[in-house]
Amino acid sequence: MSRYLRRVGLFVLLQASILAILIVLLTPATYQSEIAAKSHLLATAPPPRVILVGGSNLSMGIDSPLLQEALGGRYTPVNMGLNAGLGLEFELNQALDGVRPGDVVVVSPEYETLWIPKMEYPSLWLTLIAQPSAWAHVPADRRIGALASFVSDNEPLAVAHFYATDGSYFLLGGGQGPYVKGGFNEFGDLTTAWNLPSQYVNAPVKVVGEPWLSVGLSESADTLRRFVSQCNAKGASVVYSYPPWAEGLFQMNQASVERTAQVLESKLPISFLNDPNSLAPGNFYNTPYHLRGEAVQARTRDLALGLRSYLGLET
Amino acid sequence: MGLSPVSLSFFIFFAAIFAAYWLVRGNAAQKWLLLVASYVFYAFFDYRFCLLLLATSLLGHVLGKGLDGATDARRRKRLLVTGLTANLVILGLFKYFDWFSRGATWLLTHLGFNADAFTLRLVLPVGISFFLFKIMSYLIDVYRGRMPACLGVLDFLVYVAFFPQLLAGPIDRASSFLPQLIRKRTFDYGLAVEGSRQILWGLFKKLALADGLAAIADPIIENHKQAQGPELALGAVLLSFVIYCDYSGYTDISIGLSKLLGIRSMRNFAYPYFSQSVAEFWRRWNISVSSWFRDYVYDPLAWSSPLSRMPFNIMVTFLLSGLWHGASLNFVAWGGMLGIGVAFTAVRRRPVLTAADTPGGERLTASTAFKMLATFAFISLSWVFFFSSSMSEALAILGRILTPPLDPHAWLAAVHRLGHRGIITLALLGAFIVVEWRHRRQECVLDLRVRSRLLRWSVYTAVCWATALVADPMLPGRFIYYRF
Repeated sequence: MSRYLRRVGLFVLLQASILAILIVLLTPATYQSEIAAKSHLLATAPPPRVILVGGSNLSMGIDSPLLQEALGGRYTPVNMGLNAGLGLEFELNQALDGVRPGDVVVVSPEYETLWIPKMEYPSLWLTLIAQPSAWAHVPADRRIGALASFVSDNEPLAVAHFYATDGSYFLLGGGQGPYVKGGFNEFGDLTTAWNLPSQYVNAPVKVVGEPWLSVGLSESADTLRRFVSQCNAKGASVVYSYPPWAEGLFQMNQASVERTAQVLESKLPISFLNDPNSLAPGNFYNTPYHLRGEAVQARTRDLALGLRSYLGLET
Repeated sequence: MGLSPVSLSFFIFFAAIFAAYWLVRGNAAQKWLLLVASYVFYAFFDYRFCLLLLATSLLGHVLGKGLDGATDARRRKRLLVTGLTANLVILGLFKYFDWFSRGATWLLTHLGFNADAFTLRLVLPVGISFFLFKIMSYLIDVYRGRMPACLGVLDFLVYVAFFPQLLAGPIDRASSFLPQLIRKRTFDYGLAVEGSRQILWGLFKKLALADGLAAIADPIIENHKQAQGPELALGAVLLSFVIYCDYSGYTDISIGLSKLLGIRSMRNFAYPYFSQSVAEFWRRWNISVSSWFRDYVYDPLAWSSPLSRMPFNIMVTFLLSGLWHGASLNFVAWGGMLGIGVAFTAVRRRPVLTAADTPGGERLTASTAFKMLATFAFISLSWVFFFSSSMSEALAILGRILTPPLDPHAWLAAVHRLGHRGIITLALLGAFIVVEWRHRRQECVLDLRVRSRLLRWSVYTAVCWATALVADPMLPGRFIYYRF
């Protein structure tokens, strides 16, 4: 029996060691490892800053140098967008740490993060591997769930799958595609997918209905309101910008989007830079949020216009 | 959704049971542990059905003892009929009631009567067919005098509920399982290593191949109206491997877990896609279920009828087997198609539903390769009925597969659409077929007969990482045969 247990233990240890080697070798180049660079940028970027808070709609859909130029070079953009799967509270907690007096925080979360307030634990674990201290941003009431998911959701397999795919890049090609650390610019924008051909297949589905919509939206509005108060207490202001969404999905969920706008605009004492209904149809790379080509610049200009108006800068 | 045997939580659960099982002293303590573990495991799926499992097991045990003690032939028959009727009624109630009710309503309406369908909409208990089939085969074997009744209620409860087999088999016969349970078990290093390899190979088949291929094949079949003939043919071929890798992967895990607990289960798959006739395929596919139908449906029919009725008996057996798989016409059609294939072998006076032959003795010649490919093509087409949601869908898909456009671009486009991950999965499938062919004389291909531990461990490590590379960790880990 002890011989068997020794052998099995040794075999498991061998596989764990291979995974550890892959993690050590590959993590610095992963998309998730950008989280550390974003935290550093938030801590060191010269004030006043425009801090963009949301998911990958921001990391892939904003051209920060253009935004900076459009704001007359007076504000430094800090694009904190990374992954919507981390959830609204995580995104807000992460930004709150580095907010300083005079900063303008632009909140632009994906609709799903407002309607279904949860974390995607595989995304979280990959992010934590890249920056263990990011655990501090995990909402207190989600920490036990996150730990339990490690066992119940086969997270070790998810992590091994990620690194095996990444590690197979040199051997088989593919890897994580444009989702690499080297694809980010100094402001935190992922630029690698901007000029890639679109892979997006429009698949209109209804994301969520009642009663989930009401429950999720109400919880998210409360979270946002707390965030606004905390930022205001630090001397920073908060504004909201609706993200672009692929047309088919937008139409399918238009009632929910309008309801969202109505709830947020009635509950949050902040300015809204755009109207979700007025967004031009985008050009998407692979998901209904990831812009590509000219659509990135169009969205950035739209955001800059809203910010200029909010900040009272001459047009 | 319960504890999936491909989840980390299941392996933590199993590790705790494994440790306690070999630490406790005495055979009885081990059996109690297995019983509690099995019911806890079942409760993860739906605790309400533990009562059903317990009630049917107790009834089976009481009737088995009654059969053993009775000398009067009529009383023995009555006891057997009672046992079989009770189990079939329970199975029918959960599995077939709504289907028959809707069918009867449809018939009555078409005959001009005013009828409303009465459906129960019962949740199908996971693994119900498997544990009820175990009880029925036990009662028939005791009735036929092939084995004595199980005297210990604990032994019988463990036999029926044994958690590695509870969800989808294999349906071990009581005559081979119970003696292993009754005698004292000691830890067998060789058996445990054998079991561990089989578990690893089962995980690879399920997570890398079955799930990986399903990710390619499912969208093709789901969007069959937009797909062209070549794409649908590719989908049907891939689905043949999906179901094989899914179910044989599950049984490899199940058999491997049993070995870790010191119990040998019956073999359930013997490289069925290397069969040279449909009859041979049926002897190598899901052996515990196909031999169940042979022993308890086909044989009694064959004994009571002349040889000329053999094709009819075969058809009855296969139609019932199809119906067992699912309460819908497409499953019946699937069974019927296989029945025709087997009956064709029977008409040619070849062995049909006799005991399993020794697989893998054949050499690869042009003739055997042709027979294998022809059999595989026939079986792949039959799976279309199995996977379709209705008869009309199955017929539409088959119609388009059998009239493919000759345009080679359509085939190229079908392959191109697979993408990077699809190509890796197909490459793994190709390697898998070659490896299975080379090791077809062994029960598990990972039983490597090489002395070098370095080489063996390199192969196991490669299997682990190939699984990690292709597996989709977001999939819920359900097995196709759970629903049967």
